[in-house]
Amino acid sequence: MKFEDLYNSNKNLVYNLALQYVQNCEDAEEITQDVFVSVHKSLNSFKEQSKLSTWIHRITINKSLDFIKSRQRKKRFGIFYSLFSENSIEEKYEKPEFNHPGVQLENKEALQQLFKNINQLSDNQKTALILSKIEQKTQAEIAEIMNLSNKAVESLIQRAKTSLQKNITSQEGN
Amino acid sequence: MDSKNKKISLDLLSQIQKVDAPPFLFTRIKQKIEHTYPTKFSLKSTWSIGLSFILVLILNFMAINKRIHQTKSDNNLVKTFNLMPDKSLYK
Repeated sequence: MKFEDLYNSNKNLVYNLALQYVQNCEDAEEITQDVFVSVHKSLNSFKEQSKLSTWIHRITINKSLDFIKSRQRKKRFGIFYSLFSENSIEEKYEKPEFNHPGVQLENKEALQQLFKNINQLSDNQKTALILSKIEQKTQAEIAEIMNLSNKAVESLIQRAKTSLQKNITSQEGN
Repeated sequence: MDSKNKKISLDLLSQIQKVDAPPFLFTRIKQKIEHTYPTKFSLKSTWSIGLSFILVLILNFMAINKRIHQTKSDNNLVKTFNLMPDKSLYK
């Protein structure tokens, strides 16, 4: 398969999935670029043990989680650096604003709050919830992408929902 | 918050619409790929560089060989005419 064809048939999948993780256009573009550079690099070594789309999903999820971790590291470093410097770098590494083009204006505020809570979930819970509730994947598909059993996925989604509801309730209580 | 409201909150996630990836991304990806991998030499240029290197080695070898022969003939000349090889004239 030609790389350009592969890009054209998967670009929206990668871009949208990255958007669900970072909720920001610029960051999602950066992740999409990284994903396709990785795909190009390892396309020859791709053994068709899993479906191509499953493989691309996995790369996108890993790149998105790595991107978030790297940003958090930079922010931590910024806090440390700001102790010794007058010009605070911390501001530079602040989490970018919520800029999700797939969110309608009337839902923006509610979804921003919801994503704030989703971002506090563990990596696995977050991934399971995004794939299930936003990407509308079946439990079997999620299990294949995450390389887990159906039961484990079910449990992850359930725990994610419980923890989200708990957080939302406590915020509403305040 | 009652259970109905909670459900609505999570249901909001399914209302997120799919968007198209920006059109300029592929150009950027191609640039990144070219930047990531070092430029590969063509077979022709690889052969030219290899042959030039071998040619330089052969020329060096020939030059060293010639110099050894010349030194030997110089020594023979010195011996034949009984010349003093060193520069100390007043021995």
